[in-house]
Amino acid sequence: MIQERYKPTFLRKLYPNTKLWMSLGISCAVIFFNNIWFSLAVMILSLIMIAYEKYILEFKVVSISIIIMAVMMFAINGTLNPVNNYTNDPVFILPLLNWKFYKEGLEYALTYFGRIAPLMCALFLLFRTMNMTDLGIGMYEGGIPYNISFMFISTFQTIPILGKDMNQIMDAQRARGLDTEGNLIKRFKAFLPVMVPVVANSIMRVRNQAVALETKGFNSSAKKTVYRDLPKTKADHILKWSSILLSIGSIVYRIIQSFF
Amino acid sequence: MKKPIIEVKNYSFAYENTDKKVLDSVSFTINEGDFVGIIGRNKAGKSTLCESLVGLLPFTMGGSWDGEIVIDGKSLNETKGAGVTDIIGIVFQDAESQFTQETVEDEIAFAMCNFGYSRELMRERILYASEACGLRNMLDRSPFKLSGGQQQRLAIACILALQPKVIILDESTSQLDPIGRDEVFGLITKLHAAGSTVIMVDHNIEKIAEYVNKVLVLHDGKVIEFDDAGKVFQKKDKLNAHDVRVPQVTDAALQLKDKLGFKEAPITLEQAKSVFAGYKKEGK
Amino acid sequence: MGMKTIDSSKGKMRNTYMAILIPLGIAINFVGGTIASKLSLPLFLDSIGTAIVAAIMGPFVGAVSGVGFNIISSIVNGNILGSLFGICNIATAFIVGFMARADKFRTIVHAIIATVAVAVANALLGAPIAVVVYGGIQGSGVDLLVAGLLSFGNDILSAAFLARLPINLADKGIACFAAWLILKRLPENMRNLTGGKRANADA
Repeated sequence: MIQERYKPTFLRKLYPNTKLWMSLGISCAVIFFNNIWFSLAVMILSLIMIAYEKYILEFKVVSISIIIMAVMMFAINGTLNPVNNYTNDPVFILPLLNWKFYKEGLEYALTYFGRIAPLMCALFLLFRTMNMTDLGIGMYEGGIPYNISFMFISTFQTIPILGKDMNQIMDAQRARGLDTEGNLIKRFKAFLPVMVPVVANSIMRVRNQAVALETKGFNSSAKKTVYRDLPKTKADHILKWSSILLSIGSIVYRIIQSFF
Repeated sequence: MKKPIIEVKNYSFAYENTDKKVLDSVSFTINEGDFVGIIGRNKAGKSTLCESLVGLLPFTMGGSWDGEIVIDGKSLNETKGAGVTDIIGIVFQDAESQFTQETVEDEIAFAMCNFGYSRELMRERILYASEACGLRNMLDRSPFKLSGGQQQRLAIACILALQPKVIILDESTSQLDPIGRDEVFGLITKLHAAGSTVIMVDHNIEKIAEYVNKVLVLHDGKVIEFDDAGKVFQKKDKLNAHDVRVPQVTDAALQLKDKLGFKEAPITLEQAKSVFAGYKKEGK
Repeated sequence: MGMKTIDSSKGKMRNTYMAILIPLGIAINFVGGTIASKLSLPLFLDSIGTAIVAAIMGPFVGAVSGVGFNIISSIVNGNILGSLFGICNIATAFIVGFMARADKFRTIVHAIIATVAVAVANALLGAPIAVVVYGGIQGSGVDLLVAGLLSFGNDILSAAFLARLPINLADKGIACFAAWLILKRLPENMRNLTGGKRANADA
């Protein structure tokens, strides 16, 4: 009945919980192996998959924040972090500003960056290929209480609705002369005139929503059933257990490593 | 023989933490297959009455009450409102605030999932409800991206999937444009013709007169009139005294009553045409 | 004629309101953050929803909404470790929620006390999280202040804390003020949702 919304690529066909396990596995591996080459490999692999799944455009936003974070992390830690050993020579000096970058600070930044950046790429991929309603259903089928999975699914419908309200109200206020581009004070003053109507409207709708949910049996004592039919394949099983092994393995590795 | 499906017996209601009776000794009976229009000015208690009929007030949402409401033979005082949603479905004015799911299909399935229907039954009902409401080719769209009329039809589809005997529409068309309104009225007429009992709260007196067979007039929580539509709308002065107007056709006809001398003023355009067609131009 | 009464606060409606307000709190947090970035304001402004939900439904429900926001937001932004900042939101929800439950969120003075408490708590908790997760620099406006403090010789933890104090005072001030305003104008039928002793009082 539901027409194919997306092209069924391998990642998209996986059961949603499997992708959660994979996220756990990769996160543990990157954090606990703490190895710059491993992190680099994960990052390159993720970028290749992102290109393959045609998410490059959406990834641009994430990549910009990765770059900004990198610049700030390396710049500030490299020059100012007290870990730096200022008696040695700096690793390099930025020409015009005469900023001195020291080895310890840069290594410090690299450690943290090497943890965060690959995860940002890998997890972006895994979560973009997940449909949030499917994930909510996966949660319920996996044992999480119905109310929680409902709230999860409903959150992803509520956010765009409020976003639409926000845009409408911002346009309406601008048409009434609200200044959203002037100096800092003016922009600060513009915040409440947009925020308050959005919030007030949404609160006023709450009672109607509660009544509607009640009449649709939200609190009925029947065992709630699931409408969407999500298949679980062998690939899901393999990936799930590999991820669990990877997580445990990386934690054990870290523990052993800390003894030597 | 017509069987009573809703019996309201001396029902009074006040909201939680207040003393003011929003409904005061309301009594009336609705039979299976009726099409009832509830009219009255704002704050007359119409929505409160609808929410009481489905047991929301006072049993789920609190409040003080007296009297009794009997749905399909069972008193709400005993069942505490349980099981009413099998018999009565209610649709509200703001359709968008009733949706929580990603697609139209999921939305229609939502209530059924809550009541534990099997997947096969859900598929069947979704086909039935979406077909009846003209949404069959929109199943994978987002409910929030539909037009006003489509959203109301979806709200009705969600209730229809449960196949209730009674459908209550609380001002469902007030926020729609004329096209949307016609869509919804067309759907409701179809459902009524198929055997459902329909209760409609609406401000559009002409539409009410056109479609319903009985009219309930509320004012300050009390029942002013409850009778066949044709009879109720004859009482223009009484209705006006309670801030309710009559259809324009009726108003005009009543003013001409003495000149034209008919027994009962028409309440719809169609009736008016046939009544006035019988008169020949005088003199000239 | 004696009318019978039913008290709704002991019923299942609380579940229903929770199911609506928790996602709403998360969405309001998102909207706040989005408006802040559209107006290029140097504040986060993403705890307003948490404060509002805590003021209406109490500390624990508010906390769930706050943590939910941090988890979803960190996933959307690509860095799942950012969900640790949920601890800050829990603090915000607890302070506002318990004050609302104890009926101490009515006057402007209450709102100011809440602001200071929430700001200090957020700075105290936010600094170590920023250090542990990001090494102190997280890629947003607050880092410039941190940089400045570092250059004065502070260690990274103190710099992160001191930088966050003024930012949080402004940020959480707006959040608490908004929550207080909403609570004052709350529709009558939503007044007894804060949970705790009042709702569970025996008949």
